[in-house]
Amino acid sequence: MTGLASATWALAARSVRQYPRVPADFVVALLIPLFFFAVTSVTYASVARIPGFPTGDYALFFLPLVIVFAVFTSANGVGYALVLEVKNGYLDKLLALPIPRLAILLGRLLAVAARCMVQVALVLAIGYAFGMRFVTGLPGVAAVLLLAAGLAVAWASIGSFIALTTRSPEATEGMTILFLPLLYLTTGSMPLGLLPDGFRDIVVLNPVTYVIEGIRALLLDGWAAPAVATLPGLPLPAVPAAALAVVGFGAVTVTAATWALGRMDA
Amino acid sequence: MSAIVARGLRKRFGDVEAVRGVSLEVAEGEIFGLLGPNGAGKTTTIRMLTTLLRPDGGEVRIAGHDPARDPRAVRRVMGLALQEAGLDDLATGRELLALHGRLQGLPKAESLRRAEELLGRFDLVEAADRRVGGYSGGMRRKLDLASALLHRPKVLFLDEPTVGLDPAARSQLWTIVRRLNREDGTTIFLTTHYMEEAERLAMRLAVVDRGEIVAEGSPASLKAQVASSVVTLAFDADEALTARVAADLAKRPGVKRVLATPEGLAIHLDQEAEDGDALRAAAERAGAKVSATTVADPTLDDLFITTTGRGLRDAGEAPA
Repeated sequence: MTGLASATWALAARSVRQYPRVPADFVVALLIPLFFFAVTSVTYASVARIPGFPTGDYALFFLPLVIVFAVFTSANGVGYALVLEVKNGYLDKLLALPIPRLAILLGRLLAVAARCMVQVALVLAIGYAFGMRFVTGLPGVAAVLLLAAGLAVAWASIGSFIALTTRSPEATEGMTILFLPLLYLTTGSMPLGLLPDGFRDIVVLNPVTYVIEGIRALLLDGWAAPAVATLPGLPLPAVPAAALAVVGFGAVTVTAATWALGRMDA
Repeated sequence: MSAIVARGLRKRFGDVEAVRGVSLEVAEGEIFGLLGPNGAGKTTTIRMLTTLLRPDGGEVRIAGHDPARDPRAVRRVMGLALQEAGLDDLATGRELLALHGRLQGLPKAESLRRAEELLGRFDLVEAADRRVGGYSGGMRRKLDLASALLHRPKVLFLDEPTVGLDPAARSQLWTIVRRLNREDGTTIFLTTHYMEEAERLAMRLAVVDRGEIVAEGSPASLKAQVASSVVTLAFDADEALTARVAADLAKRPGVKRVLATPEGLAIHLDQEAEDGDALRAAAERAGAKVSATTVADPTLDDLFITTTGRGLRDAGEAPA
């Protein structure tokens, strides 16, 4: 019998070992967000001159959206990998092993968290190479990586939930596109104050908004930067608000995925 | 203590009763075969025995452990190789075995050592560091089987272990399974729809059809129940003539039963058998122009036809 920690570790190590074996995944998950970053930050550079825009550097303002984009594209692979194992029967072999079931899920989540931290570190390194400087320094970068890892876990759990409940590669693949509304109904490309009213109401309900704002605070405004909005009676700055959003979002999705895994023998 | 006990196992999927009260018992050290056509409920049964599927009713004990109460105790003592040989295609053979060893509870060094040993035993050393995605069907089956053995399970479950394999790979796998049983004393439970596989491997068989066990015993005793020999007569005739010939033959001494086949008739004979020539002559007197006669020992297919009225091969496709 194997405990939760050691089984999770062994399964996470398997996934991590295998990431470089599909180099296309890695390249796509990095290149697309970077391409998008290059194009947007150049074409929209003058947006930063709009009265009320909080900074003169649109590229740095836009960088958090690119980071979150990279997280989503990486985390999207988890559900798909899982549904293929449901389909080909390998998941059954894992379920028949004397390990806690949860390790099968946690192993994949831990691996994707590590992968996203590497990818986001690369994005930040590229930004640094192009002369960007981050106001909170290395501790802030570490916090950005943790937020990215948390968001990766939360999003990969949704994919896992869909994979385990539908057992359909098409459905699992199809839902990955849902990251687009989550990514764009945020303050990723425009500050809240410049968004139209109705749009603003939606944006403050999206947990990803808080993650982007938190990352932006760490890169641009400092640890104490205020959040765009917080729960009534809970006036948190942007960084803890981001942490809370990631934990809350993740708690719901990890619970859903765990539930789905638990009823695989029904 | 019996290695496997199942009592009154039932499982329903929507309107389909996949398994309808299966009871069986397998002794330690036995090779037990569950034989039946596709769709008979074999896979559903094996999944319920191995903690992968919760039964609607009935009880199971695997080496004394109850899958409903303590699934992990069951998983510790069993190994499982499934029909699809679903494996992790991105892993190498060695990595896959080492991982399964770890997950079956072996320390890291022991897991690597066992992986090495099994790679050698199953003739996979050369392929050990290649990715599983490039393995042939036979290699996948062997690796799948090896991955179930790292922790030396007491009970090994094999679901259709040789489906889709060429004859050479099939016979190699049979040799491996027999050796596991003989040398390690592993109890083996296998499902198959190949009669030859059931006969070559299983010490005892249960024949399953439409979710129920319809016959049980050693392959030899099961065949002996059917007949001492089987004569087949091939001829072209309409239904009425065939029925008349069949009725005539059925009255002859030593004839146990007469079954219609696509080619003509199959006559099951008792010990004091008539010979094929006499039956042929009788059939011709009744009006059949017999083109060929064969005399053979009964097969498990004959058993299947007599217990279910359908051939093992067609039963899977036949409408229920």
